[in-house]
Amino acid sequence: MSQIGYMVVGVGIGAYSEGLFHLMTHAFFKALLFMAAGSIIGAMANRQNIDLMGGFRRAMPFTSATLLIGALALAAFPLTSGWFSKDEILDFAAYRGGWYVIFTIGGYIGALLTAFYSFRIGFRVVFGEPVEEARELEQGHLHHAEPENPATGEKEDTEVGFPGPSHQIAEREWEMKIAMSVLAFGALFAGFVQIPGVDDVVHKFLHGSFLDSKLYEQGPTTGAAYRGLLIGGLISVLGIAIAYYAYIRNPGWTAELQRRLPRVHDFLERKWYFDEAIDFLVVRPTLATGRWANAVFERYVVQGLVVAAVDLVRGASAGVRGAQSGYLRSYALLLVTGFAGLGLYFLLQS
Amino acid sequence: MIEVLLWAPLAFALAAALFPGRIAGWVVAVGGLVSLAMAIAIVVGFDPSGGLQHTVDESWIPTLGVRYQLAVDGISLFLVLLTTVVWLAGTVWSALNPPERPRLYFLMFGLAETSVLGAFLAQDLILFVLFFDLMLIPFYFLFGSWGTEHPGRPEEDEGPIRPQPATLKMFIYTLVGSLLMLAGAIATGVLAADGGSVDFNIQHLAADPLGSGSQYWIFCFFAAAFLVKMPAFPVHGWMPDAYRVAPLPALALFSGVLSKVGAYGFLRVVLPIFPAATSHFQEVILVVAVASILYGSVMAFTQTSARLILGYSSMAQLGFITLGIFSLRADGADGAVLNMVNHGLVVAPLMLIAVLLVERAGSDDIRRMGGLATRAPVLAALFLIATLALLAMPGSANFIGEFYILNGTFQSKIVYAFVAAIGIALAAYYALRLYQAAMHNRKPEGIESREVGLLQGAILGGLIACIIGLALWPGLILHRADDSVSGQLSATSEAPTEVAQR
Repeated sequence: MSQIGYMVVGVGIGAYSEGLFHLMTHAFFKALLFMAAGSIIGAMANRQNIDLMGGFRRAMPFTSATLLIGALALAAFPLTSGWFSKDEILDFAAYRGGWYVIFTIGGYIGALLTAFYSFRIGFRVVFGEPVEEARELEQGHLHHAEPENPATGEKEDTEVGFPGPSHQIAEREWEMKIAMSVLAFGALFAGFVQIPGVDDVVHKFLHGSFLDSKLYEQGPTTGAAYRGLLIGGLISVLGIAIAYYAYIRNPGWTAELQRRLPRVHDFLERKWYFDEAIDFLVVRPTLATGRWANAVFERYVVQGLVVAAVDLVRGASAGVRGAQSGYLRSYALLLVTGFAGLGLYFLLQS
Repeated sequence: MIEVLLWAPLAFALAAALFPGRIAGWVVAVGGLVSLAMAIAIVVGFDPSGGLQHTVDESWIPTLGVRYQLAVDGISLFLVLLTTVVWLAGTVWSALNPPERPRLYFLMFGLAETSVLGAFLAQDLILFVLFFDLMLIPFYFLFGSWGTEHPGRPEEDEGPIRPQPATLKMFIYTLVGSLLMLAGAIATGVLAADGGSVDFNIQHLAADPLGSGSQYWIFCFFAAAFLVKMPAFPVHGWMPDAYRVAPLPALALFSGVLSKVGAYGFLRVVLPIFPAATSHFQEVILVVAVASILYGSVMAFTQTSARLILGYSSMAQLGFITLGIFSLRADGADGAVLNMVNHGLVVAPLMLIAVLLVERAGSDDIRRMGGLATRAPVLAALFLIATLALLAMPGSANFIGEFYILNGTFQSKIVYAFVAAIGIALAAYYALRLYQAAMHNRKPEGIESREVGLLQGAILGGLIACIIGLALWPGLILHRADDSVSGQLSATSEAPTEVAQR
């Protein structure tokens, strides 16, 4: 989500080829990260909580290596593809000047946070004390946990519903190795197609699509671009260093922070209460409308229309039926009155 | 050719009376196949810029000025093909498990198919009204005699719903509208004659419109008939009960095709013959359309009966179609024609899949369904494709139809388009809710997930293949419909000057 933000900023400020370049490199390293993460989750019998993970570097070396490569690219570490693509967007924002500098500053802050969180995963999963699963893997056999529902943690009854425990050590499959190697190659080297001042493959490739654009041919000078790349690289290294401090040198630091600032932690963990807001503003009113439509409107208005029509007809017919009394004398009365009335009418006519 | 197309289903259905009950269904299916072949031949030989084709014009009731006139043009072409395709699917499905009194059942099927085809092909106003009313009668028998009792919703204090009262409600409600339409049709012919000879031909009536005053009240009568048929928002009271008691294969045909005849009627009869009234009442009908979309969607996602979910969703989809027609733009009307075909192709397999769901779960209550996809991957796949088409996922022809409809509405009445667009999000909710509740999540006790059988799977597969084919090539319909649609709209684009003077 946050990398998409970079792409949208890029395309929004006129850095079209840079934004699409970031799309391309992001595809490589994000896909790589997902596959590496999936590999680890498979080894953990489908449990995704990183609190339960750690020390997979000896148990799953290939996955650990690719995870770190992906994290480096995501953090925009110098010379990775992410470095070139992300920082070129921020360069362009700085070039546009004026209020656009907000994007540059915001982008660099975001880059710092990105570097920190990508290595949060990298350090916690790969380094540290191996957890049970990792230890057993190193010794060559799988650790079988009790099968449980990954979402709720309830113990599984494998006869019904969810399939039983599945351990896949994906990195043992050669297909997985090939796929991840291709992605890792891209994550590391795809950036070299658009080095400022050296080549601009993406820019040239997309040229035909932006013939009408005034901004496409503009951009920062090579010197300015390298300044931006340098700053970006330093920020990335800084972020990785902070993550190193937090998770390897001083492992309890984040837990301490969590204890000291519980409300901030809650707010962030609950995703700024966005889910609750959407539920309150959108989901509940819509469902309430549905229930009201069902219980009130449909019942009283719509069916009421039908029932009212039926009652009207029934009532009218009951009224008319009153004339069918079955008494011969009332029929005779009706007959005589009718004829008399008819005779009177014709009499008056003439 | 068009005569064979029209009368083959009825002829074969009558012939089926001579055969033993077990193969009566197959005889009628052969009739359906003949009609389908004729329809395909007509589609292949159709000339997109040729106007009305395959015309038939015979004298019928000379003293009343009613002639027997049939023709097909870009609008009715694919509705005819839709009818033959869906009817064949429904007939074969029923023939696989014939119900009681099969010869009578399939006679109703044949009669209904002929009536619907007649409604799509008729070019004489009285003939159109005749077929419109006629198509209701076989469904009265099908729903009333072969319908099943439905337990009703206990949370609404509803008792069980029996087939006969529900069918009677549907019949009378629809017929009131239809009889008003008959009165309007006769009035149109008589007023247009203006002392000369009475002529009910739709083209001739469109060439020389009536005065605005007459147009207004006759429009209201026609609109009453078509809105009740579709059904549209305030006049849908017959739909919940009728949909809950109907036998599902017949309901597939009813929901897939008959509702379209109402929308088709607007496009064929009302827009060209009453242009001033159409412009005058445009906003009223747009409000009705948008209300149908929103109300239908909102109701669809709170129902627990699969039949009602599909019924209310049909209401919402027909709301979109009406929106497209009454945007009075070529784009909107093109999208409406495309979506008429799309919706028929989507709702028919969904109803047939509902048969399978009810078989496995014991009732149509989605709270008692779940996890049916576990051992039925083919059924799950077919169901998913139909569901995604229902919610107009980009990549389906329904998306293109909706896009055209909303495009047309944006051009003429932008506020309505905005509000209607909410309906798209709601459609995703109710469609996915039905699919998830039935196929995913945990399986409750006592129901089994079973794969769909070979023959039934083949029928569903055929319909789903049509959906996919149309998704890949919607131009098949759009290109052929364009000319005819512009013809229908041309009168209304001149009419606004009258309204402007008021």
